[in-house]
Amino acid sequence: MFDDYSLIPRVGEQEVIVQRHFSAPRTLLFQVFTTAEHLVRWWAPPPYTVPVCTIDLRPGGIWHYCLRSPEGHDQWARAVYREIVPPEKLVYTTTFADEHANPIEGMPEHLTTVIFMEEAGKTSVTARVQFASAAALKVALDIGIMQGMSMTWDYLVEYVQELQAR
Amino acid sequence: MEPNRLHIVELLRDGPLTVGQIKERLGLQQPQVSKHLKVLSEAAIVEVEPQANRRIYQLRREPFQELEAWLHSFRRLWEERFDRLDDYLLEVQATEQHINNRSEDTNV
Repeated sequence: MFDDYSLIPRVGEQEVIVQRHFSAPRTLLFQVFTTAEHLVRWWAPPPYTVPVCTIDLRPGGIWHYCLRSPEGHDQWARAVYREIVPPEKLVYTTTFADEHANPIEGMPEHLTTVIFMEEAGKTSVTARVQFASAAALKVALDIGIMQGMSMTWDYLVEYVQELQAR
Repeated sequence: MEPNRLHIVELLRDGPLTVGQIKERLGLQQPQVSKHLKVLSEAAIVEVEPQANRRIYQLRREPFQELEAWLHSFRRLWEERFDRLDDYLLEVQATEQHINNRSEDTNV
């Protein structure tokens, strides 16, 4: 009856890694990840928009932005830069925030590492998202967060809703 | 989460255990272990199965499936974000090309 134990992710290894190759120079890739005028054009999942985005690109600096739903609901988020190595690497921690960039509840803080690598004129970008084990477990424990996120950032829970509907 | 409680979850990840086994591995007193297990049961993280005169504790799968689904939603978020970035880069490069062509025209 315990055959399915392998399905339970090991606590402390909560991470997601996504990689993609782009036909563009690495300097441009780094630029579109770290410049507000670029980010507002591609960062948000449609139909969300990014009406406000400010960036203080230095270690400890804050990247603060607003995600606006078509109904006009605003969800702010903030990232604090941990490491900046142009045009190779970007490390930051993200949480939901208020409009003054103070962190708020709703999404466990997570660490994102973006690596830009040049490969024969192309650029590979690897995004690694890591949740601290305690924070990730909190997600597992706290069913409330699912509902909270579905109200604020329903895009993220769309997949979960699909699963539940099965 | 309380560190010992997290530790209990990690122990149970390898398979079901009795209170006595958990107590030994964590080096805690039985009342403490029982208290943590009560909290974890109430949070629907673990479930108990009586076997003869013993109580076997094991993890419930549901919360971890939700966690996995939640992490999967982050994967999808990034996959789609990269799709948009791909389109956006084409747009940016086309604009740059246009500007370069125009400046070449002006130079001539």
